Amino acid sequence: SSPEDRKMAGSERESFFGSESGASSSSPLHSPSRVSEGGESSTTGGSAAAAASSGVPLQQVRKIVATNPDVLPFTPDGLFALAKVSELFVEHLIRETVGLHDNKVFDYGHLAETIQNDEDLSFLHEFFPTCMTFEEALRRSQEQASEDE
Amino acid sequence: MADSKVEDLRLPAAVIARIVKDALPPNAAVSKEAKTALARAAAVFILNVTTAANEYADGNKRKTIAATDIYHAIKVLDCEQLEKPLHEAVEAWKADKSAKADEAKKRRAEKKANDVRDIEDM
Repeated sequence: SSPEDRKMAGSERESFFGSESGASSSSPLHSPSRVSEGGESSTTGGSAAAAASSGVPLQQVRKIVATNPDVLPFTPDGLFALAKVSELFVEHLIRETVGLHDNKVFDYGHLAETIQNDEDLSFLHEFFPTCMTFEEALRRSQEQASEDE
Repeated sequence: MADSKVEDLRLPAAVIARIVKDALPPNAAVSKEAKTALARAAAVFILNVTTAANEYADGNKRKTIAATDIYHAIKVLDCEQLEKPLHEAVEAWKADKSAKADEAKKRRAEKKANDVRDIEDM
């Protein structure tokens, strides 16, 4: 690997992300730069500062990735990109839910409905079933049974 | 016990709360259950992106997963609208990193010069 790669790997361990220490990401001791960036993005819309960091702690991303033992290791930019895109995905999901419903309060049902109705989110379909009453579920299974005959 | 392991896979509540706050119109709110669901959806998304990115890197005979593999993975997962903002964020991050590296280099050079001066003074 080039000296530049090594340099980047080294600086990843520095305080910029600070998640290697294993400290909880919501603790005030953790990464003061992230706390102020959060404040910036919600008031002044300082998107450059917010864009250059990811609110998602890299340690947590690593933990999730580690559930699949056959995965290749990440470069620093790869790990950052993964953390950042997951943040963008959550934003996308919530905006889509807001767009589809005229509500003040959004609950699980709204999210599940959004997911079920979006073909691009089919990978989430089995994880987020919509809720229905027992009566409705019974009715549907009876309908299905009569269709199958 | 299995549940506590699965729960670990969610994104932290503080991160979800911030994303939601920035994305919602004023006066709107998201329930606790919905935030939990968002955190879990993000974890599933990460797993899917990782698998796709891993396949792409591996298929190109590379040994590590880099940002370009992530760009490819989100195309595969029909989330192309995320590619442009992601690309901008990664470029900003890279620029920031290289600026920090340059700064550190400068500091080291300055320190070295100071050390030499101190030795000469002795």
